Amino acid sequence: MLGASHRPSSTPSEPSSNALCQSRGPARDWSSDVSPLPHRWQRTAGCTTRGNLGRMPVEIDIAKVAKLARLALSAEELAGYGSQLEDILEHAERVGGLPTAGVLPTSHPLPMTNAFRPDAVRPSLDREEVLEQAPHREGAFFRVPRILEES
Amino acid sequence: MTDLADLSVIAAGRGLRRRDFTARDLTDATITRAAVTESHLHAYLTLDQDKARAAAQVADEAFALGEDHGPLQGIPIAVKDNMTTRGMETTAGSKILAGYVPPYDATVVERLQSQQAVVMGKTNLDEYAMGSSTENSAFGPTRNPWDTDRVPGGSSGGSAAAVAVGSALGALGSDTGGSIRQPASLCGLVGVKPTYGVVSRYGLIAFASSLDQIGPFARTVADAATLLEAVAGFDIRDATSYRGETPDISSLLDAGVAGMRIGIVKELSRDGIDPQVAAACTQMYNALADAGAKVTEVSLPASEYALSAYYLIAPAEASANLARFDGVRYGLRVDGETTEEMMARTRAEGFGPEVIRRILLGTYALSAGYYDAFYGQAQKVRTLVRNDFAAAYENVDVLVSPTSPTTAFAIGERTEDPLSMYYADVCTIASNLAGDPSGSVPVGLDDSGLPIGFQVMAPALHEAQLFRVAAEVERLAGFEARPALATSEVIPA
Repeated sequence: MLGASHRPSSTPSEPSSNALCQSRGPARDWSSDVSPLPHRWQRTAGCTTRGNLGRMPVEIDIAKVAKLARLALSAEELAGYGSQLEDILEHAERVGGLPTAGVLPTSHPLPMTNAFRPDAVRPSLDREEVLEQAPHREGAFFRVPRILEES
Repeated sequence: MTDLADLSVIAAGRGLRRRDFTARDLTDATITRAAVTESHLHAYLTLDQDKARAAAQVADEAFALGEDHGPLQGIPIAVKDNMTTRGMETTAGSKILAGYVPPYDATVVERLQSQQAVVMGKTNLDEYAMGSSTENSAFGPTRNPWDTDRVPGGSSGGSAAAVAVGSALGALGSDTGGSIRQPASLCGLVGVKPTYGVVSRYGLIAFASSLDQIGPFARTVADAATLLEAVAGFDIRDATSYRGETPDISSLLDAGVAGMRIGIVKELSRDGIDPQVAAACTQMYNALADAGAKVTEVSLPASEYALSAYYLIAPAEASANLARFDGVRYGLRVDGETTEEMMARTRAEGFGPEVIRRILLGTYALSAGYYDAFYGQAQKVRTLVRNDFAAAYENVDVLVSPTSPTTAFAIGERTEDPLSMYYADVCTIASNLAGDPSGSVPVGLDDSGLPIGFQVMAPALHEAQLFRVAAEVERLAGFEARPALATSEVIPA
C-alpha cells in the first residue's frame, strides 16, 4: 500500500482525467512499467505511464536561464550547457511517470513548522572581521559598481 | 608497537587516559602520516600543524588536571572544507571562496573544540559538495589510497582518504545524495548520514538545504558512533534542527541481530550493480540470516524515480543557496560596469562547470512555467519515496543494499559524462529524499583490491538500530585490510 500511515488527506490539487491517478487503491509494482535499472543511466525513450504530466518539450532558453542565475557565459558555453541540460532533463522528467494526483509535495523531511527562537537580542558576528573579507570595502560599507542603469 | 596514527578513536582515548602517550604524541604521529601521504593523496586543502599541536597541548593540560572533556579529547579529527572554521580558510572546494576566512565556526566545529578534539585541518571535496568523485574540486582531485589512479568517491573524498590512511583518526563529511556513504564505501570506511535534523547545519555551506546532513567517517562502527554522538543534538541556530530528544546512537552496538527483520531493497539488487559488489552483499545478507535475523526482499517502487527527483530537487535548492556568492561581501570579485555585470562575471569565473550546470538546471526547474512540472512534481515523488520507506518499515526494522553500484572508478573515467557520474548515487539517494539515517560498512575487497561497502538504512531517529546492524555487519565481515599507503615510512612518488 502506498504508505498507509502517511496518506495525504487533502483533495487532489489539480484536475486529472487520467484514471490511473489514484491516491488510494491497491499497491502497484511500478517496476513493470519502466526499464530495469540500467547499467549506465541510459537514455530512455520516455515513460510508458504518463500520469498527469504530458510530455514537456525540453527546449531551454538557456540565455534567459543564465541571466536569471547571473552567470555571464559565452555563446559556446551556453550552447554546451544547454545541450547537457536537455540530456539531464530527459532523465529527470521521468518523475512525470508516477501518478501523483492527491499526493502532497514534501519540501522538508521533518514534520516541523514555525521553528522559532525567542525574539531576543544576541551577539552577532564581529563587524570588523566580516568587513575584512569584503572584496571592496569603504568604511562600514561593501562597495559595489553602480546598480541602476544610466538613463 | 602500533603507530599511533593507526589507532582507532576509542583505542586512542584509552591510551591517552592510561598515559601511554600524550595528545601531542598522537597529533605528531598523525602529522607525520599526513606528511608522508599527502603528496600521493591531496586529501587536505588546509592542514595547520601549529594549530593542531596547540589544540593537543590544551587537551594534554586538561588531562593533567584530571579533566575529561569526552571521548574526542586529544583526538585528531579532519573537517570537510564546506564547514566554516573561524580564522581558518574555508573554500567549499571553489575558486569563488579561495582565501575566504570565515568569521564564525560551524556548530559541529564548536562542538569538536569544546570537547578538545584536535582539528587537523580542512579536507578536499567536490566543489560545493556537488559530485561523486572529488574531481570537481577547484584545487585538484583527491586520490584513492587503495589505488591512487582511482577516485576516493565524493563529495567528501578528502575526509575519506585522510581517515583511510591515518592522517586523521576520524573526520566529518556531509551527505546530500550519498557524499559520506559513497566515499566511505570506496575507501573501506564506516560512513554515516544521520536522520535529517539530528546534526546542526549551522556553518555547513549549504548545497541543498532539505537534503544536506553532516556525519562521521571512521574505521570502526564504534568510532563512527562516538564521533556522531559528539556533534549530534539540537541547535537553536539551525531552523531545521530536530527539536525532540536526540536519538540514542550507541546503546545497541553489542545487541546483535537475532530476531531483527532485515529487508533487502529489491530495486538496488538488480542490473546495474557490479557483480562482485552484488556477490559480497549477498554473502552478507546470508551471514545476517545465519546470525539470527529474518532477511527478506522488500520493494521500494518509487525508488526507481529517486535519482530523477534528486536531480531536480537538489539543483533547484542549490540555485537558491548559491545565489549569495556574488562578489559583494566575500570571496572572488570580478569587476563590471554595473553590479549585475560584476555578479555575472564573478560567478561565471568563480564557479566550476558542474556547479554552473546545477545552478542552470535548478534555475530552469524553478522558473515560471516549469516549476510545477519539474520541481513541484519531484517533491511529490519525494513523498512517494518516503511513503515507500514508511510502508517497508512496517514489516522490517532496517533495509540493506550495496552502498555504491561499483568499487572505485578511475580518475577521469566519468568526468566527460555527467549522467554516468550521477549514477554513482543510485543506491544512496533515496535516504536523503526520505530524511532517514543510513550508513556504509566495509565488507570486503574486490579482485582489484578495492573496497566494497554495504549500506544499512533505518527509520528516522532510529540511529540505534542502524548502528546495531552495522556493528554486526562489521563483526561478520571481519574487514581489517588497510591500504598500503597507511604507513609512516616515506614512499617514493
